[in-house]
Amino acid sequence: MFKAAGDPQPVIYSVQLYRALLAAYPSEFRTNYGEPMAQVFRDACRRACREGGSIALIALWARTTLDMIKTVIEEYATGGVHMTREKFIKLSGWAMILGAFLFMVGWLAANRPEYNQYNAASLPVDRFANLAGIPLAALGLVLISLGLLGMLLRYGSKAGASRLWLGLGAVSGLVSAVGAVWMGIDDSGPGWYLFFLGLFFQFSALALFGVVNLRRRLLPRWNGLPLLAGVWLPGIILLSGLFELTTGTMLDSPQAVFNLLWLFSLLMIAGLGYLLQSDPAALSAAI
Amino acid sequence: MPVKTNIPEGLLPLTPAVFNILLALADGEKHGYAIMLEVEQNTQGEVKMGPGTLYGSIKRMLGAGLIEESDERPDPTLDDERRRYYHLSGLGQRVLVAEADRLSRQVSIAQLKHVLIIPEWGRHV
Repeated sequence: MFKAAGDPQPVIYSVQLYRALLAAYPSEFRTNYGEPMAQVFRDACRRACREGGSIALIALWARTTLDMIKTVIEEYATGGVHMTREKFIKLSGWAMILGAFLFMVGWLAANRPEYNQYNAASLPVDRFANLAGIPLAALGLVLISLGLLGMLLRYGSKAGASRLWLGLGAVSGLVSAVGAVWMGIDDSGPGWYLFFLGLFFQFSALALFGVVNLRRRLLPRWNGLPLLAGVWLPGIILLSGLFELTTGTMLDSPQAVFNLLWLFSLLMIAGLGYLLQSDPAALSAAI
Repeated sequence: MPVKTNIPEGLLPLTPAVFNILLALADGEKHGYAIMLEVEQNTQGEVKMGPGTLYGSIKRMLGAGLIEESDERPDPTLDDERRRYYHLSGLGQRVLVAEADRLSRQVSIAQLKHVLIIPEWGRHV
């Protein structure tokens, strides 16, 4: 491992996070090129910090996240996917658990106030949180989408037409991730709309699959999980819209309530991931 | 580019990333970050390669025999000895020339069809 002594904290944390994210690449590629890739990223971080400060580092992270998503897919596609359908389903379960965790951390980090050394309420970790929030949330969304693809493979054959909801959920999650990255680059652009529309459709699709699942009992247990995981976000948006239509005023929910709902929802998603990776007896029935 | 070939035309057209990396290595061996900087400079910042694109391309270019990893490491007092340096192979040089020639012919066609405009004079060339 190369030395990072003397680098500013954001560079050190960024490189550590990037090294962890390299795990997404196929193991052979990571073994051969992981170290030089981390070196190149470290050099790029140093230059970004030196020339443009935090803003340049955020822009670098946004570009690197997109580059990573694209090239991870390319490496798996060109190297051939050396895994069985069962292995993919199992891994997608773990991806869903990790994705729920990363999204929660990213959401909380992105909502931290901007770091100010003169403000007692501002924590030192906010320097890192301000930078890492959006990339973490975007990566979390991509991993949750992978989990939904795993669910599609695992339960698709028995789900009938409702498998479309899982596919829509996976695609919407990716759209939302693109929106999150876009938002990181340009806060005033359409990234915000992509992010929230993607989330809305992803959670709505999960809730609709959940409704079908309550009747068909596709999961081995905890059949209420998909509905519980998906229903609150579209529910609260529709409720807010209805409230505004009837009263003429906006429904103002405290941030803490939102955070609690996210935590609950993402715990349900992590539960789905746990089910997906720990259901080996039924894997042979996958399409 | 999984299959090695000795015919440069068999590898054309190149992707922008591969062409830019070959061009960056045309005047000597470089390590990954130096390649990235040169590509950014050569394209006036229009092409900013991430580490994934850079090393994904390098992997495929090594596989196709377009570039080679240098055996010699620089003096550790001058540079980080863990950096990997790459240089063009003979095939890589021929492919670069062939691609540059192909692009130049495309530009000539664009000129013949009056597509290119000289902004200062505001007239077709």
